[in-house]
Order: sequence, then structure tokens, then C-alpha cells
Amino acid sequence: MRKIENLNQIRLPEELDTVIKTGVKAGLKKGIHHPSVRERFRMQSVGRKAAIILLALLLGGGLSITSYAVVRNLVEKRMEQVPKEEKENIIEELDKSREHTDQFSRPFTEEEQESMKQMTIAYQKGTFPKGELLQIQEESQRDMDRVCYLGTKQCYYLPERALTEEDLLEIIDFQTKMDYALRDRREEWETEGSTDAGMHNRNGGMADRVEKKSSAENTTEKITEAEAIKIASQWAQKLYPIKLEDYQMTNRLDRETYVWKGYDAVYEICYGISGFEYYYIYLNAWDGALLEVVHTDTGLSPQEVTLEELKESLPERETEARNYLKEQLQVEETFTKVTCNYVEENGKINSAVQMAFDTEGHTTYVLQFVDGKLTLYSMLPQDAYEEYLENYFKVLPGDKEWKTLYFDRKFL
Amino acid sequence: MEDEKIKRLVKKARQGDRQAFESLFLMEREYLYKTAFLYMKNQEDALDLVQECVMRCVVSIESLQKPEYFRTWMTRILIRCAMDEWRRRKKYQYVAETEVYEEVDTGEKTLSREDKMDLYHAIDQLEFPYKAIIIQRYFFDYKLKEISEMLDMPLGTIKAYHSKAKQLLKELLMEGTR
Repeated sequence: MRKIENLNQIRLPEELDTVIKTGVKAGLKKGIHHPSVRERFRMQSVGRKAAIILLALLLGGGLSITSYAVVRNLVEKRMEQVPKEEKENIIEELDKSREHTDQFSRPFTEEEQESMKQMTIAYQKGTFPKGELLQIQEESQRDMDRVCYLGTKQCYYLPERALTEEDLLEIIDFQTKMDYALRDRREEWETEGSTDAGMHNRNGGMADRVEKKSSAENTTEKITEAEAIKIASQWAQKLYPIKLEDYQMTNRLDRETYVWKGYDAVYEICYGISGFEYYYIYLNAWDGALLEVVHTDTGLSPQEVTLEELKESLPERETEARNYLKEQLQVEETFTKVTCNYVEENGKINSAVQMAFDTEGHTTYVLQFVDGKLTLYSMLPQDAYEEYLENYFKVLPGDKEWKTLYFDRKFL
Repeated sequence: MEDEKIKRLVKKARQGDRQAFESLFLMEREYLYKTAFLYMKNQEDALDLVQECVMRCVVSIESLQKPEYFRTWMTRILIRCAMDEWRRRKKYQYVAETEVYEEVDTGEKTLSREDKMDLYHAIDQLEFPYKAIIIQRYFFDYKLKEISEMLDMPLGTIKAYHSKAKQLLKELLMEGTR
């Protein structure tokens, strides 16, 4: 694909400057966030009760080091042993390259693609290549029977024969080095940045490693990184039918994304099979409460069922959703309202079907049926979900409409 | 020179200087609006997105570590704002198409009007992060490495998403021609 747009064709509206100034004014009115103002943020946690119970259970049982953590350390350890110079060279070539991404001399076959996934899992569990990826300086040095990498073109030359497990492991290993090299550089920048920011930057926006260097005052009331990982792994296993040992875990402390929502420190824990699928779990760093889960491979097509089919299946769906809340999320609160929400188009349900449960604590749990499977879509303050529904009504055009089936009764 | 100016403005902004904030965002007004427009497809929503992004940037200015990366940092926040908005409207918004065609249909040589209609429609159906990657890569010509910094995701992840995004886009476009 080539660059596809001439941006000059988008005209700037007259009111743009006013809008920017209004945004600045609104931001200043809210106040520049100083991480030390903690109380406000902790009070706004949703799902706090469930998280605290879970945390207590976890802490009560002690924090054992799982085999998963040991495995993760194997890749970390391997990457830590890569000489700094080698990492710098990789980045230098990347910076020089005019290509926007990796090129392959031929596409992977279906078998190779499947094998790549299996080898990625194996690599994450500690199976490493015996050799190293052959790096060449120019195309003429290419070895036709080996995978070669030409940095200046960011190109992997693949042999015509089927790729072996060793070939694939060498590619995975090299790409992992690239990721770690970039991560190291970013962390270096962040560390430098914190020094640059001086007294104005008490501990904002730092990566987790830098965070550990901040004052004791800022760390004593937060859950630790290890606790966050433990909690996230519990949630991942509860929410998704996945074997965690097959996934690589990465985590970071995010101090910017959720600030506007009132959370000044959020752990983002991701379980992924590199290049294939990812599960993100977001926890409030103050109390470990689950804020959000995102599964990145949810597919594009909404399910299509008729309204009649949906209505018929409602009692069954409701029971399933309640069981899910109770068993998977340990939510046993009194629900003040339960609704089923969907988008209708030409008499058909053209969206994922959502079940929303409002609690007395003004939290809404939104569960979603996609391809017959039930997952947690979101946990959010009740008014935020109401706003979400209102916005649907505003933006839906013509023959599409956001519909809500109100159960309109209290439970328990 | 530009970097020095940004550094000075960021320093002042951190102290709550309204004018410094305004100068920073006005300097980036064109990029900010055009990016927002590509994500939202119509003027009204693009302006809303700009305002939301500016507001969030002001609130979290302390999280900007290196002032010279102001644009990357701002883009990251803009994409997050757009992502939140998509989640709210997920897949059901088709109101803006007419306006998009009017705005981009002048003097375009590389893609036909019909191609562009299909392309916008297809991009609009992509989920995060595919949509963000396609927009930043093919409209603004950012390298995947830069996009990985914007989205704060490992390069390997971005590469995988980029490849999947292209595949999805192709499928959607082919669907449209059937």
C-alpha cells in the first residue's frame, strides 16, 4: 500500500482556534494533574469490592512464583545478555531504514504460519534457536539455503524450501531483540526525561522501572507490580479460556491514559502470543481494582439474530450473564437495573448483544455476547454507561437504531 | 530551534501558563485537526475530538517526559480519545460519509471517488488498533517504529497488527466490490 491521502484536501474550520482555546480552558479548570493528589482517585475506583476480596485472597495465600514467571524470566534473561552494542546496532539500522516495516522475500505458507505460532509459544517458554539469524550487509551476500536479514532494507530473505523450526526461532529471536532494544531506548528517554522535568515532575508519566526509584511516600499505598501481575493473571484465567503459560506477559505502569478518568496510575498487563493475539487487563494501581479488559482479536462481524430469537433467548442469556458475574467476577451485589442492549437494522440484530447490570454502588457491568461467547465488555460508572447509550441514540442514522430491552425489575 | 521553543513552552505550561498551552496546540493545530478528521470523518466530531484531546493533554501535561516528543505524546492521547469514542459508537455510525466525500474529492488523482468511498468505509469498520495504524501509516506516513511509540506498544505487536490490518482492509474492500 502506498500513502493514500492528500491531506491538503481537508480544510481547517474557522472555529478550530476557539475549540483549542476552549479545550485548554477546560483542562486548566479540571486542573493539571499532580500525582500526589491521591485520595480523589482512589475513591473513584469501580469494582473495588471484588478486587479487594480477590487481593485479600491472593495476599492471604502468599505470592508464590509461578512456573509462568520463571519462564518469562528466561526470555528476559536472554535479552539482558544481548550486548548493548548489538542492541544499538539493531536500532541504528532500523533508524536508517527507509522501509516502514519488515519485508519478507516471499510470503509464509499456511503451514509455516501455524508453525510460527507454535514456535512463538515455544520461544516464550524458553525454547531458543541453536544459532543466530544470519545478518548480511548487501543482497549479494545472501545464502539461498538460510534465512538472512538485510538491515538496510529491513528485509528477511527466506529460502524456497519450507522453513524449519530453527529458521523460525531465529527470526523470532531477532525480532524479540529488536523489541527489547527499542524498549531499552524508550526507558532511557523516560529516565532522561524525568531528570529534565526537574522539580515540576514529581513522579508523573514514568515507566514502571523508573517508578521504583520514586519516593517511598508514593509507593507505600499502592499495590506492587508483582501483586498487579498476580491479580491480572487471576482475572485473565477467570475471563478467558486461555492457557497463560502459552502467553508472554508484559506490564507497565501507565500514568497518563486514565488520568482524565480519575485514575492517576494504572497497571496495564498484557498476555500475548506475539503477532497473533493479545489480552489486555487494566488495574487501578492504588487498590488493584479491575478497570478494563480488552481482547484484541474480537473479530469484525457482529452476530446476526432476529429480534424474536433474541427475545426468546433472553431468560437464558440473563441467567448465563448472572452466573458469569457471580462465578467469574465474584459480583453478588444487588442489581438495581438489568438491561439488554443491541442495535437493530432492518428487523435484525446487527451488533453484539450487551447485558448491562447496574449495582447499588452505581457501577455497571456490561457483558457482551460475541459469536455465542460471553465476555466482560466493560466495568464502568453507571452514568458513563448511560451517556454511552444516549450517544448511540444521537449518532445512529436512518434505519439503524440502538434498542434497549428493560427488564425493569429488581433482583435479590 | 523549534525544539527549544517547544521546551520553553512545555516548561511554562507545566506551571499552568494558559498562553503557553494555547501556543503549543495552535502550533500543532493543522496536524491535530487533520488527524482528528481522519479518525472521525466529519468536522463536528473532529472538533469535539480536538477539544477532548487538548483538555486531556492539559490535565496530564506532567506525563510528557521529553518536550521534543510533544507531537508523539499528543498523538497518543488523541488516538486514545478516538478509541474511547469508537468504543462508545462501535460500528454503528454512518452519518459522516457524505461530508467526507465532499471534503476530500477535490483534485484527487491517485484514487477514484468510488475507491475513496470504499476505502473510508472500510477503514471505518476497522477496530482499534488496526484503524489507528492504517491512518498513521498511510495518511501521515509514519514508520511502524514511530507508531509503536505513539501507541506505546512493542514494535513486534505493531507489525503484527499492521499486517492483520492490511489483510482486514483488503477483505473489507473486496467485500465491497462483490
